[in-house]
Amino acid sequence: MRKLRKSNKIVCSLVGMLIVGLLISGYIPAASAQEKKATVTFWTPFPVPFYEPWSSWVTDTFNKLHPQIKLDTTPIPWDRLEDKLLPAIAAGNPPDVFQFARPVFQSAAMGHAQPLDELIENDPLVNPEDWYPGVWYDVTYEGHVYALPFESDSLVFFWNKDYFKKAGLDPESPPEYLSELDLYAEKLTKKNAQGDYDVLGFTPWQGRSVEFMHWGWKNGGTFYDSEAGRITAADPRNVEMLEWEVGYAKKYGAEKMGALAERAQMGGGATAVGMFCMGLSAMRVGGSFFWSQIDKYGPDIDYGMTRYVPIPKGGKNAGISEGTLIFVPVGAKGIKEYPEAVWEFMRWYSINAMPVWSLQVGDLVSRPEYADLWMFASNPKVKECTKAIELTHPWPKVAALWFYRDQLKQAVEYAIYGKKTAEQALKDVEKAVQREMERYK
Amino acid sequence: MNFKISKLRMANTRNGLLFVSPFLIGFGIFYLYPFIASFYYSFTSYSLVGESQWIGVLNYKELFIEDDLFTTSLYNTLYYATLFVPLSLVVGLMIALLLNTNIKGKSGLRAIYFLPSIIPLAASGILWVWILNSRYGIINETLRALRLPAPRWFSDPNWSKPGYVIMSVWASGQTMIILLAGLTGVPRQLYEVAELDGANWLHKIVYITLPLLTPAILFILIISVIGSFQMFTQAYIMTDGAPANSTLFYNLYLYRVSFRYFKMGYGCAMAWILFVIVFTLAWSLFKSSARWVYYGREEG
Repeated sequence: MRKLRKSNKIVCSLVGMLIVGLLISGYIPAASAQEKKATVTFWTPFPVPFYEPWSSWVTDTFNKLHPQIKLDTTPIPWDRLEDKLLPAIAAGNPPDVFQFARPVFQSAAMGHAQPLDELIENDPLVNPEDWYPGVWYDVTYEGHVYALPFESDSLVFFWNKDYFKKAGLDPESPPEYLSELDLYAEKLTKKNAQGDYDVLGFTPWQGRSVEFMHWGWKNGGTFYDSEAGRITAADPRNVEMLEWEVGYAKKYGAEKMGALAERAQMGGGATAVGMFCMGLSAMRVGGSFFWSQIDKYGPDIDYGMTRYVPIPKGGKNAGISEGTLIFVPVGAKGIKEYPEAVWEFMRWYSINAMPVWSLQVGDLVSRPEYADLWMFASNPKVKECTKAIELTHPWPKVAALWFYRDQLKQAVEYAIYGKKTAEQALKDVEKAVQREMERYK
Repeated sequence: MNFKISKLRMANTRNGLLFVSPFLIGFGIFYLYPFIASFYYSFTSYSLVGESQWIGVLNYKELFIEDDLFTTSLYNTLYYATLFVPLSLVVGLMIALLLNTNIKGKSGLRAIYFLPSIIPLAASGILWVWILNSRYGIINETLRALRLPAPRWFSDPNWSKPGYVIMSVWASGQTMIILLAGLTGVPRQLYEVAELDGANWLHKIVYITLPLLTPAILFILIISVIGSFQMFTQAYIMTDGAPANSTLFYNLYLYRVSFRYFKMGYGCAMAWILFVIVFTLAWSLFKSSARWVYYGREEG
């Protein structure tokens, strides 16, 4: 009995010493260090699983370069980003910096992002003219700057050179006009004995051109009259382009085309990547990030790429550019308590970290100063894609832009499956988006 | 004396309430409050950030009068429910009857037919994208081998919903299990009496089995009506509304409205309409049950 008590005493005193020791060694220095450091919290959709080192690289590098600031990075999957941000804003505890999709219009209109005008004016290192004009345009809304740009992408035309040779076409000269594109598409399409397609020449609504706006722009069409505040989706020049798409559906059969796409389907957005990479389509409008996917998933495909996507006769080049940006969510504490630290990180991430990211994954730099650096300029594919940024058409500055683009995608589907005429489909979009805009007033 | 009893009862009530309080608190915070709040928000314009604005019945008006997608999604869901509910019942009943006979490996077969219903929805969704693949799916390969026309399931707006129905019927092993349990409860002597009276197998099913299964059938009907209106996971994973919004089910649209466009008030209004529809259907099934469900007591 006595022995037991004695051993109890020993254990107690040991535990006590351990606790005191831990307090002295760990807690006290940590507390004093925290007093000095400003913690900047940052939510980012990067890395997606393939590029795991990114968020730790950002955190480690920034923390080493700025010993007085502590960066705390949380990666969040793309499709959960807004689901996480909005409740955080509503609860009054959002991150200090948030990385999200470009353009910023909706986040600004809905009051999720704070204007950064003052910070930019007072910082000689941040000059709007240092970015591509199209990129900077996307971070402004109603006369204010709401974000700093990160990486960019652009719209590029890809073609399969082997198929061109087999069809008797010159593999070095892609179609310039839609009339040529249609002709080439016909020549490149191959059917099997059952009448199903083995290769489709071209599908106008696939890949990056699932977005309809750039076809309309190429034909001189508009989607928004900013002076009248009116949605103009049913502009006759847009209708003409949708009818051109419907022409493909009628000629080749929307269901049959879909059936071929299904072959490359994995039950998600992988369809279009698969089709070209698997040699199921001969031509494709893709994002600038697409070539690295072909190199990875279709290494045997000999392809060409150009920034000149085919246009209607008398039309103009007009591409799409997206990417990401970083903004300060409304109600963020960092920007009030230690604005220098938050701004220091934003500037570093937007200007210094961006090219590192772009180099890693094959995205485009959004500042021309980097475009001529050997690591980007020496790769002809990257060079072509970067030049394509200059052909980009600005998005309409509509708060409900996501909604608008979703509606257009649906209109294209209605039209190609013959559920609505091209004109009716676009008129319905006009009505729905106009109604949606009322919410932002 | 009375005073003492009431004091005891008070103490009992208090203790009882204390014991159930974890549930009551959880229920209040996570069910009752959102339930009531969603009704309030259905009359507002609310986007999570900032104050909600009272707009009266504007959400409901827009839904019923202006929003085409609301009508489309409601139609798609009703179409799906109308096909799925009776089909799953008939198929479940047939399999249950077959598995209730004296065959070898009965329990193994029961397990096999039940298995699909415990596969996670997301996994079965991906699986069925392949099974119903128009070119290389096992169903179309079979159809083609039999020289039958092979529909282009998820590439054809007219065949995409039937594709979902087939998938859901495949996964309705629960129905079969419930009916099997019901079947084992049918007294054997009834069949023996019927046999003495010269009844054949069809007579036995129609006059004995089915009437005695009606309580189970009522339960299945209510559960599957509610379930079919809640169609979401597979639709979200497999087609996300495509092609041409032919698989835009009600809940998928509700999700899009609320979590893609952040129209929470509008989403709440949609949720309440769904509640009223499902409630009415379940209630009318329940009401009608007096006429066709047999609970084993003789009516005088």
